[in-house]
Formats: sequence, C-alpha cells, structure tokens
Amino acid sequence: MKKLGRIKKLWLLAPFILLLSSCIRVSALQDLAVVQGVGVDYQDGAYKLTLQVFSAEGSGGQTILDPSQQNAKTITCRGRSITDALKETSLSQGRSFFLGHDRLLVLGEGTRELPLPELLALLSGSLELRGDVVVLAALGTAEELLQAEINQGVLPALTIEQTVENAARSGQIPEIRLLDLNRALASEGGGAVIPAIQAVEEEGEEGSRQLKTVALAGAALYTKDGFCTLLEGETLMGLTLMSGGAERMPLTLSEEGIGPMGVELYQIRSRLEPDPNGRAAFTLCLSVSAMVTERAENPDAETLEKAEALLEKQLAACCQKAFSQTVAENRSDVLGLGERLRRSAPETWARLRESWPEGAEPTLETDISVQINRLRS
Amino acid sequence: MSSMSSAASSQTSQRPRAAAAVPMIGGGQLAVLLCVCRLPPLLLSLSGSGETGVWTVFFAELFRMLFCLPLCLAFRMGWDPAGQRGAVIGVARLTGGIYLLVSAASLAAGAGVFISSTLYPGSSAFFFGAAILLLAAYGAHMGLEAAARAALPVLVLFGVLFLLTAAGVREEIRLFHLAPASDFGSILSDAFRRALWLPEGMVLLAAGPRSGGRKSGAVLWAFGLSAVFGVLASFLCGSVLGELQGQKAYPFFELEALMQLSIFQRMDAWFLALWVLVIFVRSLFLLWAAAELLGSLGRQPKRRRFLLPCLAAAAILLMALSLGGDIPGSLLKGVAESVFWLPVLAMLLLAAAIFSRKGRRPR
Repeated sequence: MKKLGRIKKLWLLAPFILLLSSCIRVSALQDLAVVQGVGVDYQDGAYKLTLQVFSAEGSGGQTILDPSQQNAKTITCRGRSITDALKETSLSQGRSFFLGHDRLLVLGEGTRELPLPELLALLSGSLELRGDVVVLAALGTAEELLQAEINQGVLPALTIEQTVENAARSGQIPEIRLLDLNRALASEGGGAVIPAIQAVEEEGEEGSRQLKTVALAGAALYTKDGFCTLLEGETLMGLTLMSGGAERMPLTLSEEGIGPMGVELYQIRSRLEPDPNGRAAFTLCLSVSAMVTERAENPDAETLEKAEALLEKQLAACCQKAFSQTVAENRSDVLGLGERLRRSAPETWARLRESWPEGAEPTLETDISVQINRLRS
Repeated sequence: MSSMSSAASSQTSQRPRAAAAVPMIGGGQLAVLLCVCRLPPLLLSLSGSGETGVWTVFFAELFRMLFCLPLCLAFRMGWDPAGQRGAVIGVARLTGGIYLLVSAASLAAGAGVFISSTLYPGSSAFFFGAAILLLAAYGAHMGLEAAARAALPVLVLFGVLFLLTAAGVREEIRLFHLAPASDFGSILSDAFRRALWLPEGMVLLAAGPRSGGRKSGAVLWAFGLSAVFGVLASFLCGSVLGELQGQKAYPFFELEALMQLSIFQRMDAWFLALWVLVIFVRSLFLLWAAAELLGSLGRQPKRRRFLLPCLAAAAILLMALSLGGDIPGSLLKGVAESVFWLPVLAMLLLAAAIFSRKGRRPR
C-alpha cells in the first residue's frame, strides 16, 4: 500500500508542472481572439492583414451559436511587415490572437510580386499555426474574400475549407496546405500550385441583402520567386492526376462511335519514376479505374475498349500539358522531381542541383492504363 | 597448510565490509526506466535528416549499448560498487554525480524552452525548468522502486501515442523526401560522438546494484527499444517533412501536431502532457542517481537527506545560468560530452571488478 501511495504521488507530481503555469501568466479564453482565417494583402509597400476571428452570435436561449449568423468578425491591420501589422492591433483591440485554430491562409492578388519565403516567414515560423492550414490564392483581395458574408455553414472559414476539400476530393483542384507549401519551398527549385478562389455575389430576393459565396477558379502556379501564371482546365486536371491527390474525377468523352459518355475515374494510382540511367527523365505510371456514369445506351465491349483508349490518350495529353506548363515553361518543380532524382541518382543530382530545373531540362514519358469496370457501368 | 589457508580465508571473510546494496527493482523495471530516460534527448533533438539521420540514430544507440555492456559484465562477475571503497571508485562516483547533475540541468533548460515554446509562448522557461527539477527531486526522494513502477505506464502510453502519430501521418509519407545517406564514415563518427553523451551509463552505475535480474538484458532491451523509437521517428520526420526538417526546432512534435487519424487529431495537449511525464521521469532518475553516487562518498547516511535538495538547487542554478546566457547551453552539453569518457571509465571499472574478484580468491 505504501508503494502504491508513492507511485500515485509521483503521477500527481508531474501535472503540477503544467498546472502551476497559471501562476505566471493567465490566458483566459475570453481574452483570446480565436483566428479562423488569415488573409495577407500587399499594397503600396505595406502589408494588410485581415484576420477572421470567431465571434459567437447566439440566437438567445440555450444556443451559443446561431447557424444562420456569420459567427465571425474581421479585424484588419497594416504594417511594413506582418509583425508590424500584428503589433498595430494591440493598440486597437484588447485581445491577443490565437492562431492554433486557424483554418485558412489566403494570399491576396497584391502579394503575387513578393517571394513566397518572405511572405510566409513569420507565419511558417509560428508554432501556433498548424501545418494543415489550407492555403488559397485570392482573385482580388484576401480582405474581400474573408469579409464575404457567406451564408452556408456555421463559420465562413469552415465553409471555405470544406469547399476546397470537396473540390480536391473530386479532382477539380489540387489541395495544398501550409506544410506542403513549406516543404516545397524548402527543396531546390521547388514550386507550388495554390487553389485560386474568389468571392461571388448572389442575387438575393428583393429587399434582402446581397449574399456572397465563394467559387474556385483554377490554381495559381508559384515558384520561390513569386507568382507565375494561372492554371485551369486540362492543365489542372493533369497536375491533379500526377500529384495523386484525387479520389475521383468526372469526365465527359465525346467522340464519334463513343460519346457522349460520362465517366468517373476512381482508384487513381500515380507514380513518377526517375530514369534508371540517371538522366533527368521521368516516367509517369498512371493506373486508373473508371465507370460509365452517363450514356444513352449501355455500351458494348467494343465501345468500352474505344473509350479506354480515348481516355488513355486524353489523360496522357493532360499530363504532358501540365508538365510542360509547370516544369518546362515556368521552371516550377511542383512535382518534387528534384527530390526523386536526388534519391535515385545522387551523383546526377549533385551535378544538376545548382541549375535545377532550368539547366536540367527534365522530360516526361507517360505509361497510362485505364480500365473501365463493366460491373460498375 | 590447508587449515592455515582456511583460517586465513575465514579471517578475510570476517573483515568488516561495507553494506552491499539491496535489490529494489527487477531487471525489467530497470529496462523500462532506462528506455524512458532515453526518450527526451532521442526524440526532441533528432540528429541529422533523411537517411543520414536514421542511420546516425541507429548507430548511436548501438554504441551506447556497447558502452554500457562492460559495466553489465562487471556486475555479472559479482562486482558491487556499493560495497567498494578506494580512489578509483571514489573518482568515478564524484565525476559521475557531477556529470548527472550537469545533465539534469541541461535537460531542465531544454525542457523549459520546449514547453514555453510549444505550449505557453512568452512564458518563463526558467519556471518550467525549476518546477521540473524541484518536483523531480521530491520524486527521487520517494525512491527508485516508485519511479520504476510509475515509469511503466508512461512508457506504454508513450508507445501508444507514438504509434498513433505514425498512423496519423502515414498518408504524408513520401519516400522521395528522404534524402539518401551520404558518407557512412561521417555517419559513424557523428554517431560515436553523440553516443559519448551517455548519462544513462552513470545511472546504470548507480541503479545497477539496486536492481536484480540480468543487467545486460535490461540494457539490451532499453537501448534496443529506444533505437526502434529513434529510427522510426527519424524516418517519419525525414519522409514527411523532407528538407523542412532542418528548419524545425522540434520536428517530431511537428508531426504530432499534424497527425490525423479518424477522430484523433489536434491532440497537442495530450502529447505535451506525455512529454512532461517523460521529462519528469528522466529528471527524477538523473537526480536520484546523482544523489546515490555522491551520497555514497560520505560515510554518514543521516546527512544524505539534505543531498537531494542541494542537488536540485545546484541544478536550478546551473540551469538559470545557462538560460540567462552566462553559461551557454552548448557548454553544458559540451562538458557532458567531452570531459567524461564513459568507455574509459567503464573499462576502469571492469578492471577494478576483475581485480577485486581476483583479490577475493583464496590463495
């Protein structure tokens, strides 16, 4: 019994280390501004930070949150750096910002001229800010997006986050989080593709307020030096396929003898393999299952074979287009080709590292296999 | 002749000897304590990145195991340092005790910085470090057995959360992020240098006589298990974070913040509480061993009860000087790494054990 008492005492001692911390500094929840979304704009040589902060708007009675309300408010601040901007807020509001629950990081159009490492320096270094924060590029200002009165969901930032996740799962855009962005920027010649988003006005009923929603509009291609171009359509589809982030992808085939035929791709497996001979050449091995989702008549075996061949051709074209527009033309290694080469051929990498990817001129071959599953057609 | 030799041996056996240490814990408990002791430096300051880091951790733990085995062999041959007197063992106890004190101060300083960075930004690292040392000193006062029994659930919980972290970041693993290993010669030399910082060796010197069972088995289990943890952690950090690992102060904690497995996500508070427990157990063990080694230098057991508070105070002072910049943190670590050569010490102890064993044989 005496031994048990001692063991219990030992277990009780350790939490004191955490609990006694309140003697030094008290941070009550009501003194914290819980940030849900961070927007960064850059204008006239100064940063403008927009912080969407959780602010419960109860409907009275028992409910703390009213889903029909925004439950958020925005705070804007300006400064020559992000640190200065945050410092300015302490003069105008009495709560300290807590970034641990942040969901979004929105980069305004004005930040395109800035190198990404400089832009993200403070935010990436914060231990509060998590690596799974969704990063977006606003078409317009980040402030406009975060101030949009989005009427879906409990929190506007949550709605935007869910919109992006849903689009990523359906293969429309590649989702990127802060960790992915930092990881890409840490590698040689690294680049990133950030989903582009904009606020869209909806026409309300006569007499009601104008409500907004958000719509994804392609993706912004970045290198470490800054913004390159906007990607959309087939390029974006190819990029999504190659990065392996899509769970499913709907497509329409229309060709004589086949279409129109709606198909949905699933079980998308992609692998980028470096050339075994140590050259800067890569092979994309893409294996896809598909099912027919929309067609006037049930397709026969011959039609399905033609559809498979057409799909393989289309997917190969998309991937090649994505590769040429990102790596070849804009020198943005969004696919981690340099790291793959470093792993498979360290000597080749040591030679090409300094000029990667401009000097290396990597090439891509495709090996694509599509199988339309009759049982699911 | 035979009666004279038996009379001589009986006189030798009747010569008063210092009291031998009474076993307080089993071999398994010793293994658990040593393993938990290894976790904070192993995972909070991962060595290298990519495959280099993985191999460095592996070889460092292997070297540590090899450095401790001569001590285990000495114990197996019947050597009992608790009952020994002499200049060699005295120097070993004194240097070992100071070494452990410096290690405890270094750990508390590092833990204070870690907790104040991750949990309470802007708070005082000194406060956390001092709280850990004071509470660890009180915990050490409760004895080795209580510490050993309390350490087992800590290790089990750590193992569960470790596996949860690994499962939670499995989708982020990209093997191509793992930079290939470079020169194995530099990996081995780096691992050897890191392995020299081994307070666990001194802890083994203090705790070995207090534990029953096979010490060599305990050492193999402890360092083997910590090697598994270290290699896995290094692999996960390298394959998930890639080049980013070198920019993060606590890469493994970064993974713990990222992990997502069904409903298990955003469990930072759980992980931090667990790290506090692990750091607490290590501090406790270091202070206990320091008190045991330094306390056995004196001949008056009554005065030993003041030893733990004095050691805690000394460690707090060292920690304060380190955090305040008066003594650079690297100096503390440098002293622990370079001044005390465990392999040499272990060989001397083994030689002493063999010599004392030969001295006990009847002529």
